[in-house]
Amino acid sequence: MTTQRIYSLPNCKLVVEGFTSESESETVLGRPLMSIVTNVECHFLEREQPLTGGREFLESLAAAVSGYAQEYLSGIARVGDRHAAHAVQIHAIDKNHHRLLVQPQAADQTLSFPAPTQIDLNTVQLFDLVEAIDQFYADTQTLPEVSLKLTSLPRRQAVTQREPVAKQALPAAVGVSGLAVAALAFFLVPVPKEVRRPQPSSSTPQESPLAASSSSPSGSPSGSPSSSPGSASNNASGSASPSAAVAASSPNTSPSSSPSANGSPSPAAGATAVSPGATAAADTLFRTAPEISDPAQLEQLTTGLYNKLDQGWKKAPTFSEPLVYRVGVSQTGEILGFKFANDAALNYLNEVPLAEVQFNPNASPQQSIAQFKVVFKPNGVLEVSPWYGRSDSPSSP
Amino acid sequence: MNQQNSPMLRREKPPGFDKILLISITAMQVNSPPVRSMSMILDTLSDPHIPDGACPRRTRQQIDFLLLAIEALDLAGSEAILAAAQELELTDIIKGRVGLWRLRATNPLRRNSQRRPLSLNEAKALVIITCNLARRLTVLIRQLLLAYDQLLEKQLSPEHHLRLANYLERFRAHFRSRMNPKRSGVLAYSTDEKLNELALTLLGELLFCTGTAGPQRLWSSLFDGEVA
Repeated sequence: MTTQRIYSLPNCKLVVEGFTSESESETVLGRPLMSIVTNVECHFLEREQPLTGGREFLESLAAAVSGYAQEYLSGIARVGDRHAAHAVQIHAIDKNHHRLLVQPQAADQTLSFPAPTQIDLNTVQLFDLVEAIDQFYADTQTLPEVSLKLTSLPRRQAVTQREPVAKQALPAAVGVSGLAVAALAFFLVPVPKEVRRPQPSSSTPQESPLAASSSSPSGSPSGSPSSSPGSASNNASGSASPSAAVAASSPNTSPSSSPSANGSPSPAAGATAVSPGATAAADTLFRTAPEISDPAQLEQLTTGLYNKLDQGWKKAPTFSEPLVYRVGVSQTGEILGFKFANDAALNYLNEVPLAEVQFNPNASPQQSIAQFKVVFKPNGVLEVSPWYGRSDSPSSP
Repeated sequence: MNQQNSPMLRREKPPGFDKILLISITAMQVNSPPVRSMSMILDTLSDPHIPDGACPRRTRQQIDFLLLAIEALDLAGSEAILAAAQELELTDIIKGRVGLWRLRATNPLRRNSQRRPLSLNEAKALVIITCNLARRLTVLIRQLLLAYDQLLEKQLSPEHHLRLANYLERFRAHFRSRMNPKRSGVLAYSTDEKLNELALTLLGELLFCTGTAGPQRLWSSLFDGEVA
């Protein structure tokens, strides 16, 4: 027996015609089971012609509309079965309009290929269609095997509702490139050379007036000014960095040197009679020239130096404490240069014969020198002894 | 009798799903304690495969937004939510006004967003209430959507329809007073136009909630893109 079942909504009416079986199911719910569908019509309110088809049409329509309804509800597109050429397709034109496309059934085609039927629906009409389908699904007496199957879209199949990858990658890229630029900038900053710890020592404050006086080392021939010999005397392996030495206003890298430097401005002015180049060069000499260490030679040089200085020291001493100098003497006994070993030495330099010593810039730095400790005592006594060796000081009568 | 010529045409409207549900619920109420009817309602919604049985962000956000839209539609919306909870015997899950607020405040965009998870049962209860209330407002929802469609055709702004403009204004006010303006998800709705768009989208979604399979469709859509 042919039966029609109609699912009627304000904008859409779904008519399903088919055969019902007059079996025991009639008594159960009062309605017979329709298991075979012969004709389906989908009427829309404003269209005269309904969409027609058979069971395949019905199933295709139901599946497409149901999936689209889920897309509409969640806002996440389902790409999966879009590509297959289904008989019924539906997609969005914009948020409020939806396009239903029905491909003509293969059986109906003649020689020509009719265009697919296209119906535009607004949201309310779409909902009425969905509701009609849902009522058909819910009807257990019509094609009971065809029912509502809803599955949430798995994460992998969800089309990007999220930001596009490019936009997501942008902050990460900015961060990494910023890090690279910073790393490069820091790489270009020069590594500080060996940082010398300040060495508090007895000789260091004495070196400071020297450094204060030679605070314009720009003329120094070797370019490595006063700081080095002071430290060389303190630690044999000291080698001041050129960059640290450039700031000659911080002499000898010793913090204790500055108070003593401030305490003696005027004698420093007096001591500037000594050519700055001489003292600077003397430092280099002391530092770089090889030492004469032969005891016999040292003895000889000691005597020679003593005689020379004794003859030259004519002025009566006005100072009250001994003046100590470090004098460099060549193999021939010639005085090559000297350094102050205490403050008083600087102050009263003009009273001792060392003031006339002019350093010879042409002297070869490889020439061996002997270093002596020369002490001018207030009682008129002169003492000369090797700087490093055992002192053997002949005293004048 | 020629059965082929005069087929018995029977016009049948299949019973709505919710009617079956209500009938069975009332039958059950006579015989069994309310707990069983509650679990029956909740069982109509299947459990999705998500970790820890806690609802993802989008789910919590969407549920709260839909309830917000219902409150904007109906002046008595907030009370109606609580009344529906009582009617549907869901008060074990939604314990009064504060309990309802705490559940809705799991929406991460709220000002005082609660850092508690929203369990599946709680979400199901809210979904069922939403669909129940939406059904009661079916006529109004359809009216507003049809009016909006007509305005679009004439290229007029939504302000020209009084009821629609009221809905949009109330939605904007509720949204702004409850959502945390510093969240980027809220900044996306900083202008009136964007909020109007959101309100109309939610209105369309509420329409789908009024259907026969409304709760199932809404529930399934809440987990789109979230399940493994």
